[in-house]
Amino acid sequence: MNDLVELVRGDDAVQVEPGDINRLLPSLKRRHAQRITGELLIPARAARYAAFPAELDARIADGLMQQGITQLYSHQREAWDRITHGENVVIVTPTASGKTLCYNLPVIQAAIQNRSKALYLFPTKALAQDQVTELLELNRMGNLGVRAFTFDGDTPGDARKAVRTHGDIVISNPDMLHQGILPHHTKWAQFFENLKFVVIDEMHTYRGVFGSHVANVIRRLSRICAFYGARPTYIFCSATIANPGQLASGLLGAPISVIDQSGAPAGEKHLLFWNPPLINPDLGLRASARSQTTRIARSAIKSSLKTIVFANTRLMVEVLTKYLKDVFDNDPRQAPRIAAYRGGYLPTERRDTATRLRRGQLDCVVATNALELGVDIGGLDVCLLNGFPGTIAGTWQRLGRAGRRNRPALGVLIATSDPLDQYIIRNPEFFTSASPEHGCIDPDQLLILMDHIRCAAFELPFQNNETFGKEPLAEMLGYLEAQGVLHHEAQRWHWLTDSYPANSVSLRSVADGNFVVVDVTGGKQSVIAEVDYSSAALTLYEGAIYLIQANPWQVEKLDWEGRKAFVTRTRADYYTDAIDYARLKILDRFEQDQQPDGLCGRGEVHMVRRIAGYKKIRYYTHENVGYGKVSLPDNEMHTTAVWWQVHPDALGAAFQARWQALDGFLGAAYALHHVAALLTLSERQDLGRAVGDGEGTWFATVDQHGRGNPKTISGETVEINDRQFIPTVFLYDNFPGGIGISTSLYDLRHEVISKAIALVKDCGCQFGCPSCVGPILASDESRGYAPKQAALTVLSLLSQKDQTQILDMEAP
Amino acid sequence: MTLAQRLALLKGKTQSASIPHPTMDEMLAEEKPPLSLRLERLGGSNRITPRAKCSDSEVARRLCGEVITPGLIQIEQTLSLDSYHGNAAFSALTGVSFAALGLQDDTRAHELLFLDTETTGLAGGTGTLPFMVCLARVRDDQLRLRQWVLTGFAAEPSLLECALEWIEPSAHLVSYNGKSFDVPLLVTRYRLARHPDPFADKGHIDLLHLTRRAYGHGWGDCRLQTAEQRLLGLIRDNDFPSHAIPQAWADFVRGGKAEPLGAIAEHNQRDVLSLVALLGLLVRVYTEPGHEAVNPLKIAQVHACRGELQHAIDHLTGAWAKLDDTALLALASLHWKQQQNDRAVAIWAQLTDRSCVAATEALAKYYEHVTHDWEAARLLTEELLRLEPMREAHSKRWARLYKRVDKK
Repeated sequence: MNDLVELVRGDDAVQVEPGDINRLLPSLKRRHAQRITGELLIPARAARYAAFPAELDARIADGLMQQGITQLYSHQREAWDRITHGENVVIVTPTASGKTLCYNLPVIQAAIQNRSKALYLFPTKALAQDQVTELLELNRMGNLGVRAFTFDGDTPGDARKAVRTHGDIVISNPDMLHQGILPHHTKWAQFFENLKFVVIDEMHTYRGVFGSHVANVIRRLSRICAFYGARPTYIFCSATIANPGQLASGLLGAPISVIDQSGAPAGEKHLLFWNPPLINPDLGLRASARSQTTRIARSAIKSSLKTIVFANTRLMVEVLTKYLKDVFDNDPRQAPRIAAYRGGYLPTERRDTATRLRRGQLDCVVATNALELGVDIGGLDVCLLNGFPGTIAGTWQRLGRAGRRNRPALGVLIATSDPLDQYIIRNPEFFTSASPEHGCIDPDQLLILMDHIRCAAFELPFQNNETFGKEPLAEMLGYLEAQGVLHHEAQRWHWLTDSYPANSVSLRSVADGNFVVVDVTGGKQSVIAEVDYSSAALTLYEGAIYLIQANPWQVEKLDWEGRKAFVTRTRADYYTDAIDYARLKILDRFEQDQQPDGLCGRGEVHMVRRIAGYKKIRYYTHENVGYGKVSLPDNEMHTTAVWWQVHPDALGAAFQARWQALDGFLGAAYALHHVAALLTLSERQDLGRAVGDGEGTWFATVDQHGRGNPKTISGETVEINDRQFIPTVFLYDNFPGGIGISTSLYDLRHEVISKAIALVKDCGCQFGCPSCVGPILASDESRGYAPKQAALTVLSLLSQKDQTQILDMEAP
Repeated sequence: MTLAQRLALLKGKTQSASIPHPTMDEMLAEEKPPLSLRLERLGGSNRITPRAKCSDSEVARRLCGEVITPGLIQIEQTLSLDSYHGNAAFSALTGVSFAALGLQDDTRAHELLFLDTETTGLAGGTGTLPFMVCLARVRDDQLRLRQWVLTGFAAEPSLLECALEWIEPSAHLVSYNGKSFDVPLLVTRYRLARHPDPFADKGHIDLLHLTRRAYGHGWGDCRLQTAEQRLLGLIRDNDFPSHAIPQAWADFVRGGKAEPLGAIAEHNQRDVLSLVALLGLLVRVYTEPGHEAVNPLKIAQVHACRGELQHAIDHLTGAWAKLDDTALLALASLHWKQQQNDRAVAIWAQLTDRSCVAATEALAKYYEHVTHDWEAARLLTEELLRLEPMREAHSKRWARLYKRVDKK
């Protein structure tokens, strides 16, 4: 309970300690004034307190006072008052504001006074472990006799019964609830009969497909509780998102009160916006964010500041770790000062890194968003973001990693050449004005809903008059009966098939099965990492260099069915990056907006994604040192998309050659994709992009010669001049079935086009650059051809005619 | 473009090649379709059309039972205890002591309840229904069987209620794998019917566990039918295959054939009869030592775990001729615990002659710490060092003993 202990000190004043950022900050600003495009100062915030509630059990009050806590923060008191009145609440306050006490107090009170039970759900097992430690501490202090246990896949069989019957607080995760608890609810009868609170922490992680699944698991939980006559109070906790109340009530399916006024103090925080210097203004080429991040990290570490670096991909984590280790960890006799932390490492290794961070044994950690969640790593001084994390909520959450202990902290957002980064770095006010992202879920998405109706029917037969979700239940059940899963008899729908449905439904993604990475160097066989299904194709193809703590392994063999990759140690001086293609075909059109020259539509599409090969990229120089071929099964899915097309006549009038038009479409797609991600408040990887003909016969990519080239999915070039030519830009929901991004994107279609035009027009480059229409080739410049203009032409054809300004087609 | 194809695609069953591209007009005309259509598209080549089910009375006639409530058929059978099942008579159960199986010495056969179920699946969890339950108990000189068969879901509460009549008065259950399958399943069904756990206060003899301990080392598997063949000399003819049972009942409920129910009921009865015969046999195996193909050490360990050390010793001693070194060492250590030092020493000495390290070491310890015969202990330790030159414990012991002998 670090937060609580601090609360006691009550020192809201900023403490100046050795290695203070107040030395680093002025020197950065002095030396690199040009690169800093903006600075935000988030002032320190004083604490607001409230007295212990009068009805707080004396034993708990004793326990708190033994830890030196004599009063609560105002939001902790507000939570107590609402929760004890039976209100469902969602608590949205910053990191380290003592959120856990908000729910621990009412839960413990009910446990010691009435032996009431509580269920805590955390998105990961690691967080659940941290939670037990905290609870045990308070329990020990107050000598309360409250029994808190974790229940997850690691709980040994013989301990499970004790957890079920003796646990006052059971700490688990949604997956375990879904597969291990609900289908065996009769074993938990005693627990459910007395269940008074359900706590769902880190709620912001339950978005998209995962959130839609979790909403259905909560529906099932409530249904089982009702069977045992229990109506628990739900307590959600979340990091800052735009719509916590909406997301929480979406997950719960009932109204909910929002508690978002934090009474916790916070230290001063400086945030710098850092744009790498331009090295070729014509091409819009900037120094890489990676080099800037490495440089700032070196200064911070040398100033004895504990530093965390966030990168957006696992690959970038490994590259940055290597660069920093090359500087700080080149003496093998010393304990390492730099560590990497990302998904895919074994849990023990991750826990070890977190522990060493907490103890101050590491000077710097390089992490992906795996560390975004509430893993306790103690306070850090400096947080560097190598690239915009894609969402404002994610950015604040990562920045929250620095300055947990009331000390002044420094955050630096280092822009990549990505259009989104460049937009934000040029408009720092966007940060303060824009609301953070919305958490969106669609619990009634047909496939997800059907999966959970199946699971729910296994748990308890449905009665004729029941409801579950927003689709008519009887029809759904009738479908399952026709499929031979259920049997309808005497007003009830009974499970009648020899299977355990929860095992075939994974909450985390539709396709399932983690890959293990097996090191077979020198004949041994040891598992060194795990990779989730969705990134396996991109990182474990044969020939790939797989990096762990910046050490390279080469993938020798990939057993796709067996979900295994066999790797050997290598000394390669390069890393690999996959080249992937997508092909889309329109299956069904829901709505369409016809303009004189073009149209925008929305509907269902069939998508095939193929990893065609990979590039070998040398360290430090980043030159391309070779290609390799990859043969992997295609990733197919059916989803919803928004698309734009231009009438062939208008296209013919605007472009002399079809390849130029294609170039324009590719550039337009690049800009649209980024703008759309920003406007729909989704993470960019949630939204896919493709340019094709809508019938799946060809799709376009930028080839070595810089031209938009139509190809089949197998990579053969298609002759487009002798057939109908309707290039189409697709932006699609990157989840099977879709999760509703395309709906809001369609509603925003005019704004997306006009913002994309603004993005491209306002870019400082001459012919096009990675910050507007995507990377272009030097040859374009020399032959005076501007992909940027082609993209603008396409975008203007797509825009609403009455609002279209006559675009200045000359270069600015 | 039909929606069935659309949802089939959703599920990843690619049929893209066969899907015609919709014309512009078609696409514009189409709104998001109603749920019924969208569901139809989820797939549905194997649609099940409900048919009229065979009537209860017809099923009851087939099974030689009676319909006691709509949807529930009860079958009763009585066998003389003198009858045989395979080469074993049920009468083996009368007058024996079940103490060797951990029951009270005065437990009598009529306190036992033999239990077996047939279910709609092997997955476990709340979605599995025991649609057939067969119980057996001993009354007077007879073995009585009572069996209930559901012809649908509706009468399950009645089945559970009826079974209570036999469950409640019994003190101990006898099953084959019932501890991990049948009983948890029934407890689940009672809970779902809002009944307390009727088995909570009962003992439970799981014959699978007893069989596996006694014979598991020698058999490929310990399925009930394996035990029947090997121990009872029983080979089932025309037996309904276990794995096909869930599907057969589901088919029946959906209006399929009733014939399999008779075969399943018979299968279920045979299982229960085998429980009775096997228990009679296993009681003897656990009580009297020296049965063929039995691992005496495992059985002795069962007794020892229960704290009946002398019983364990007797069992091992009774099977003396079949004991290997491991079993002999275990016996010696049991003797030692019972303070029968001479016997322990005798076994260790015998094993020492065969260069058994553990026995030699035990003997060395005995001479060093109990009789203080350091010379003898030293000689033994030298032997140990010869057998295991690298073990530090031996060299330490030797050095210690050398000093002692030297001082004298």
